[in-house]
Amino acid sequence: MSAVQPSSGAERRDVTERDVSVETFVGTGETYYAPVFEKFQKGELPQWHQNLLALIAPWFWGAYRGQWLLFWLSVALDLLALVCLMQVFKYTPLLEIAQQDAASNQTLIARYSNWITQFGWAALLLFIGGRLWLGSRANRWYFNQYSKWRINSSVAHAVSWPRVVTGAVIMAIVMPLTTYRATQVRTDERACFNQMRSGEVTRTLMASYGALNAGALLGDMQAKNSDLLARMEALATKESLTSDEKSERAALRKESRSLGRDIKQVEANVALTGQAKFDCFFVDDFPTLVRLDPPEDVTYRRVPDEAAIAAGNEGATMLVRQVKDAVEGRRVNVFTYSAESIDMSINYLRAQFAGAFDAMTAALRQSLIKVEVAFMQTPWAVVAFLFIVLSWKFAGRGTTIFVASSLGFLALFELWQVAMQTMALVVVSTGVCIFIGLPIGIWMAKNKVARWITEPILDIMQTIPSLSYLVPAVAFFGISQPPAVLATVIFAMPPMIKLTALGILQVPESTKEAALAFGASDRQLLTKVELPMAVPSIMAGLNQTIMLALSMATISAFIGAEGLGAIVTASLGDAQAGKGLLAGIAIALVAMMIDRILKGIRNSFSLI
Amino acid sequence: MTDTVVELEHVWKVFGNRAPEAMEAIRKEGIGKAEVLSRYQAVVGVKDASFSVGRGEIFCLMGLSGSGKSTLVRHINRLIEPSAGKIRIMGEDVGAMKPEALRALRADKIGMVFQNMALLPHRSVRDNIGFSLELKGMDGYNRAKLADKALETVSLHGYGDRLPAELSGGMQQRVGLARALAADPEILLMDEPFSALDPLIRRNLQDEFLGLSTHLKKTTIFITHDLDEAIRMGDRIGIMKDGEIVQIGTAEDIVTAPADDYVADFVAGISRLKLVSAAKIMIDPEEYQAKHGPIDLSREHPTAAPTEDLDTIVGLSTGSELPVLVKDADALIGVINKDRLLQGLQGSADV
Amino acid sequence: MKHLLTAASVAALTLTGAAASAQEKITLSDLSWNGARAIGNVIVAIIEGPMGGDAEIVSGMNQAAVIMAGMDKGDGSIDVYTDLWMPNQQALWDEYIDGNGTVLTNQPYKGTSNIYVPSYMTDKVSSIEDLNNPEIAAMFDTDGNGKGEYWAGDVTWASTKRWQIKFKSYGLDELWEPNIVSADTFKAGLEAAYTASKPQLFYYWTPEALHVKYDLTALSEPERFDGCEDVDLDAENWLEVSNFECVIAPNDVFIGYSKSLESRNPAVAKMLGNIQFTGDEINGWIVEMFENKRDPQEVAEEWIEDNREIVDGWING
Repeated sequence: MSAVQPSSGAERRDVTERDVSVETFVGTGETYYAPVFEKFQKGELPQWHQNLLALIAPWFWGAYRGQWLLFWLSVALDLLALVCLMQVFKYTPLLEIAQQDAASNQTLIARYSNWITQFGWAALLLFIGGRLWLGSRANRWYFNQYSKWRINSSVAHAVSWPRVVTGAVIMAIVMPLTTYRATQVRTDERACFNQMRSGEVTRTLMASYGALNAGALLGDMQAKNSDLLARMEALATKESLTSDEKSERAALRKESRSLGRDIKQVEANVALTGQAKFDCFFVDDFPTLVRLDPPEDVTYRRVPDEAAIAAGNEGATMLVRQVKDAVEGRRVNVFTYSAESIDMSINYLRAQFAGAFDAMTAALRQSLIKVEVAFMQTPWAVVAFLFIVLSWKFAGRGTTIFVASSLGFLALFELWQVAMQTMALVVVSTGVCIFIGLPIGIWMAKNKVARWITEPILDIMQTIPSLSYLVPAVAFFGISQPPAVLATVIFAMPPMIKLTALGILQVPESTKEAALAFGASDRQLLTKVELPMAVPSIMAGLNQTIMLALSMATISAFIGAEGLGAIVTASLGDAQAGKGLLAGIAIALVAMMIDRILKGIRNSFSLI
Repeated sequence: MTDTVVELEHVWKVFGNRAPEAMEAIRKEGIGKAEVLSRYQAVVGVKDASFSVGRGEIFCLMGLSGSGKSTLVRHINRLIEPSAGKIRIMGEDVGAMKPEALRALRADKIGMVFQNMALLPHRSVRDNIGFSLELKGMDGYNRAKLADKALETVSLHGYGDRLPAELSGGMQQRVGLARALAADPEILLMDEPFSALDPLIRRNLQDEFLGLSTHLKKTTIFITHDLDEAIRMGDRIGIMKDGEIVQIGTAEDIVTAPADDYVADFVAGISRLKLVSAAKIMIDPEEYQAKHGPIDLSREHPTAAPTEDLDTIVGLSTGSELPVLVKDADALIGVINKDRLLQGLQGSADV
Repeated sequence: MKHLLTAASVAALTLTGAAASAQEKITLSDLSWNGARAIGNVIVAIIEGPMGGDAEIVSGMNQAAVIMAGMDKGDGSIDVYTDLWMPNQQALWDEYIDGNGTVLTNQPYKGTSNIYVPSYMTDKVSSIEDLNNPEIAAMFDTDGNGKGEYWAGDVTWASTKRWQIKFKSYGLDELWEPNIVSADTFKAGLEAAYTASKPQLFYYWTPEALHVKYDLTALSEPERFDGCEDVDLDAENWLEVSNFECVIAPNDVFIGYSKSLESRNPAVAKMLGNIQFTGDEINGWIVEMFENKRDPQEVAEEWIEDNREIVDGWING
């Protein structure tokens, strides 16, 4: 009775009338397409039905009719066929050359003739098969396009020459370059680099010789070289040489040799063909656009400060900066330049803040030792008992049986102590993850800007290959457990942060509002409402963090972390699959035990 | 009602990043909603709302979803800051309060009940009810005592140790009500408290709340989108449309004299039996006699007081062929014959 | 379309002749230490330069046993073991070179293996006996378990076991434990330690660029005597049955190559058999390539150019 109707008519929208006939859609050729579409709808179109134009010139038909799917597929298929065909053309001359010395080239001959036949057939099959397939699909896809166009007027319809032009441009960009590339035996990896180097050398020399072009430069250099040779000749005719003359001859020889090297570079540069340059720019790898002078080679060292120590300041250190002379003529690309700069920054930070890093290492080491003692010096029976009790209390009988048998596995294969080392690493890493991750997670949930900053960082932390931050971790903290803990923390923390934030963000707005309405302060809101309600999510994050920390145990072994991971790494080196598998299973079991028990604990919260 | 507890004066709320500019433009140029939206990408949530609620009164804010009633009520405890206007609670300007004072106001003076209950799932019913007391720092013993008392008030005695999830929707809303009452606040804000419940349970809770109200005498602002509910609960009703209060009055005022077509549309389907009084539809005796000839006062005419509702008049009228006489202290002040009664029920008699 | 094809095929015919070679490609190991990398680059440069062939360092091919097995098969998957240290790889030598005879070697150059400390440590540690001091061991303890750590090598290296045997034979295994991590990881760790003048004890060898980058001192060890080296790395209890209590004799370092190359690419096989480097030469390359960070191929090409007669001698035998 109380329901009030919205004023009638408001809910209707105006729909503009649009002509959706086949005729308007196809533009031209209605007499052909209308019956075909009808047959297709009735299910009477035979599978072998071909659209002749699409069979003969699929890319033209596709572009002309706006059937881009067919256009791209035909481009891809034709390109593939063409590339295969080009392989035939590429290997045929190689085969001929190899056949000139058939006896010593049996492997090559067999290989090349094999390739030629394979690629030839592939080209033929791709071309004919592809065309037939596209020809038979054309009208079906065209009908689908028609159906879409009836719903959405922006779908391509009718015929259009501008589209054909677009298609032609695409073909012009894609086809010739790729075909050309396919005919080329892979260019020598060094060719492009040598090109660049000879160019650089030539330019430098042109400047120093004041030559206007490379040809003139070459002339100048050759003249100088013959002069040098003449002087050496003159010395060589002498019967006996003074020591001065001997050293002069040595100097001349050296100069001539380096000049000879330069001449070769300039010659190479002069001999460069346009095609070679083209190859290096468009066909092979993306070209090296710039080469820079390398960053100044600076090394920082923290050494004992003798003066201060003499003055009674025991253990005093100071920072020493050493600059190495640049290697002459060395130029680097942007990648190397950046990599070296990063190396030097790490070196500087390590030297400058050596004390801080060492203190951090020491703190991590201390906590590790304590936890390790707890796990490893507690008798195995006690640890096993505690595990079983925990799983019994929280996770039920099935899990308890599983935990007991997993522990049995560890004990039976004598992996107990090693597994406990892994546990210690995981516990400390997880502890650090909680200690740092929880506040960051809260901050992230409370602050939009923080979220905006943290999210991409977390994504990077999770996706960057863990091996690539192992090395910096070592550079700052040395080898062994502490950097392993840090690397593990970086790898394992993101879920902790993310799920803490998620848990807090998931607290219904209305619940928070209610708390505020009853006079909660921000702090009370966090501690009495948001955090308790986020507990399931935080526990899920904790679980994931532990799993990640365990999976990191293997990788940390690369930098000297002890435990099950070290066995896996060692077995990799010795190619001992069995050892590695057993240790791997042990890691999995430890992970599953922790996972099941934690799940049990989490479920005891989920009564909520 | 002279003892005003809640008072709103020209309250505006504009949402959007450029709300202050928009507010400025509204004040200076008097631009409309559409223009605010197009010029400042801002939405007017509440438009120039003023009303006051007296002690012990139940004031219903009624409107469709999106009409701004929930927004408006959240201004009272400043869960939402007004863009303009003044809100006074017992004479005190809420807008000027320091955070400390505001929290104290929320904890002591105002209880709030929410449509979706918004109970804390990880706390027992008792701890939920004692939540506001806990926030104030009350010790556990007294808290439990007060919570149990509140539980009794809403007839949920013995459920204190349950988790909210174990209770039915109706019971949960009782818990919500108990939570609002636990600190014995002056004012109750009820934001569509019964909307999410089944009709039967809703009816039940409405009755129970009305019963409670009569002896608790809380000043209540009750929000609903259901006109029937508004009429049942409200001493007075404010009807909101697009952020604006279009009419304030008693149920009868609104039904019999809607301020505009919108309100008229709204009340069109409402049963008038219990709302319209005899006085509203009675015909002046002179007029009646001029038309229908003199009334034979010697016959047993059914008689009604002018405050009787149509329901009663229908009852009286069906028992006799004669028209119903409306008498105020024995003085004949009006007549209602059957035609008139039917017109009155239809709503054409008083328009 | 037809035009395009014709044009392309003509282009193909004209272009390919020069770039392609009608020789079997040579594949080289990718061992992780600088010396092996330098030698690899020089061999590649000889094959691709003066010999006009095709060669490739197969990246990631760094497991001695795998490389040897590949050369034994002779299917071209791996042809050259660039830096075969003896007697570290005695077992592989026995199996493939003396046994199957499927792997051949050249004339070796000499390398040395020692245990080093940074020179700023020499006032505290200068000989292997100095290590027998709990105070010293504690200085080198990085994981806090009371034992000092030393780097014994990568887990894949035979030398790693030899150093464990030596520490046991010197009676140092109560005070010291090996840190077995990859060479790259170790170098990062050394950089961290050296930068802050922290203790570090590690196995290292010459020729190697590390000696240019850091000031390092080899600890003195007892002279060699008869029976001082009795090592069986293949025994299951290799640590227990082996004994090694003297300095490591200068190593013979070979290039190993698959005998199958003699039929698959005889010219290269001949060159590899004739090759003869000196430790100094290799050291020179290492410094240029890894310390001065010049492009390794460039360094190799330059060296070949300056020593064309020697190289031609190897090629022509």
